[in-house]
Order: sequence, then structure tokens, then C-alpha cells
Amino acid sequence: MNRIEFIQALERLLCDLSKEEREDAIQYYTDYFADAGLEKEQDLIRELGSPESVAEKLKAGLGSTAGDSAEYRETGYADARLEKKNSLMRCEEVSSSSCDARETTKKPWTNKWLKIFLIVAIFFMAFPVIVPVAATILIIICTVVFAGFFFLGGLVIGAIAVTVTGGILILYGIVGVFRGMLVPVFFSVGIGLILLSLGMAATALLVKVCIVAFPVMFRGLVNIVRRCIHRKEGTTHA
Amino acid sequence: MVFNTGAALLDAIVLAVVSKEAQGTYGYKITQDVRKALEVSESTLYPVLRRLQKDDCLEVYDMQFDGRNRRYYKVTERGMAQLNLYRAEWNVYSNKIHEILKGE
Repeated sequence: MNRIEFIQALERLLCDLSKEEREDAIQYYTDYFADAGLEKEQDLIRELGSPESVAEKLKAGLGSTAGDSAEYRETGYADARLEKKNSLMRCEEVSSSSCDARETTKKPWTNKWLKIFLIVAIFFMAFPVIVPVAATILIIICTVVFAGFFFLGGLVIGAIAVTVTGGILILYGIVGVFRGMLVPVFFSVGIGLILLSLGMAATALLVKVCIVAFPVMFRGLVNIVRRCIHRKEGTTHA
Repeated sequence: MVFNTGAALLDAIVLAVVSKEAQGTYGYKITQDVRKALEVSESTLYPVLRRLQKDDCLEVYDMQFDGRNRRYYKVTERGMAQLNLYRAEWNVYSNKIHEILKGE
């Protein structure tokens, strides 16, 4: 038995008290467990005894004339009325028969288990559908991400190629100058310079885009995968 | 302990323990403090606190502590008067007992 079960049992046993009286007692014992701390929980439960004995003591102590029959002894606070077995029995009967509330507090408990069972059942029935669908979605996402990755990579390579072409054209022109072909040479040097500058600008721009885009894409992929895995875990735990 | 403690003495002890904290104190601490003098069980004090509360000797309030609501007990004026009465009675009573038992 842990603290929650203890408190719940106590709450059921106090159902024949007024709402205010019951809530006050539950608040007290909830506080008491919280203040005692987790490491003392079992000691505390052992010392309190059963929820039944706590409830009986509580009801006896709340009587307006507790002063006369109650006294504190070395065995603990005792109440003469409690020591008669038959009165204890009668209390037990009263608390079990007049407790319509007990039925209502039990209902959500069974519902909870039913719910868990249904979720597990749904999970197993949906298993053959969920897995292929999830795998397909995952593959599509991966494909899109990799396509983007290679597209950007291709653009970078293209830009570098343009730069290199520009460089070669300039070199070709300079070599042509020494051979004496002036007009086509200046033409090729001009085109070469234009290509070189455009190529370098494009390369720099695209490299910058890659630096920004790749981590974002990668993170997005990781997040999607993680979310898929977490959702699966969530379903099995629930 | 071989001596029994009557309900009135237990009330007096609880009132005295609670009155030591001006801001009020909570169930677990009250039990630990009372246990310095008496071997009360963990379930002894709730009925006592509740009765004192109903008799207007204690008042309760809830305060946030550690992310939850903790119930605090505080001595009322009436409780203070009652405690003073208990103290006076106890002085007379314990002196008389002491006179008889001191064994000189």
C-alpha cells in the first residue's frame, strides 16, 4: 500500500461524514504524507496502521463528548468506546452499508482500466496499418530532405563550375594575346571576367545558403523522427 | 511513559506547541513537536486539532508550499485565553504533585 492508496481508502471510509469534515481530514493526511517525505512513507503507513483504524479513531475523536471517555495512555491515545468490539463492528456496518458514495468513487477506477485495455487493444489492431504508413511517411520525408540537400549541393557545384569556366576563359584570352588574336581574345577575356565574378558571387551566396539550410533541414528531420518514436512510446505506455 | 495524559492536558500541549509559531504551523510539525514530550502516535493529533478548531481555539489557513497547498494551524484569541487558563492550572497542579512526590 502506498500513500495514494491509503488516502483513497481513508476517503472511502469517511464517506458517511459531512463533505467538509471529510475534506478537512483528507487535507490533513495528504499534507502529513507530503511533509513526512517519500523515504518515511512506509514507516508512516506502518505506524498509522490500517486506514480503517485511522478512520475509527477519527470518527470517535470528532464526537462532541470525546473529552470524558478519551484519554492518552502509554499505548497511545485511546478511547474507551472504541475498545468494545461490538461497537467497532457496528461502526464497520454503518460505514459499509450507508455509503452510496463508495460506489461512485469506485466507478472511475474500473473505467480507467477499461480505457487502458481499449487503448492497448486499438494499438495492437492498428499495428499492421500504423507501421507501414509511418515507414512510408518517414521515407517520403527523407527523400524530400535528401533531394533538397543534393539540389543545393548541385547548385553549389554549378556555381563553382561557372567560376572555373570564367577563369579558364581569362587564361585562354591571356594566352591569345601572346599569339596576336586581339578581337576574339578580348571577347573571351570579357566573358571570362563576367563568368568569374558571377560564379564567385553565386558560390559565396549558395555556400551561405547551405550553411544556414543544412542544419535546419537536418534538425527538422531529427525532430520528425523523434516525434514519431515518442508518439509510439506514448501509445504503449498509456 | 507510565502516566496517562488526559484529553485536557493533550489539548494544552497542542495549544502551547501551536502558539510557539506566530505565523502558524502544520500538522506534521505539530506532531513532531508534541512527540518531544509525549509518545503520541501519528494519528492521535488530527482529532485533537479538529476539535480545537471547532471550539474556536485554533484557526486554519492554507498556504502554498513546495507547489501544493499546506494547511496551517494558528491559535486564536480564544485559544490563547484557554492556553493561559491551562498554564495557570498546570502550575498549581504540578507544584502540588511535585510537593508530594519529591521524596525528601
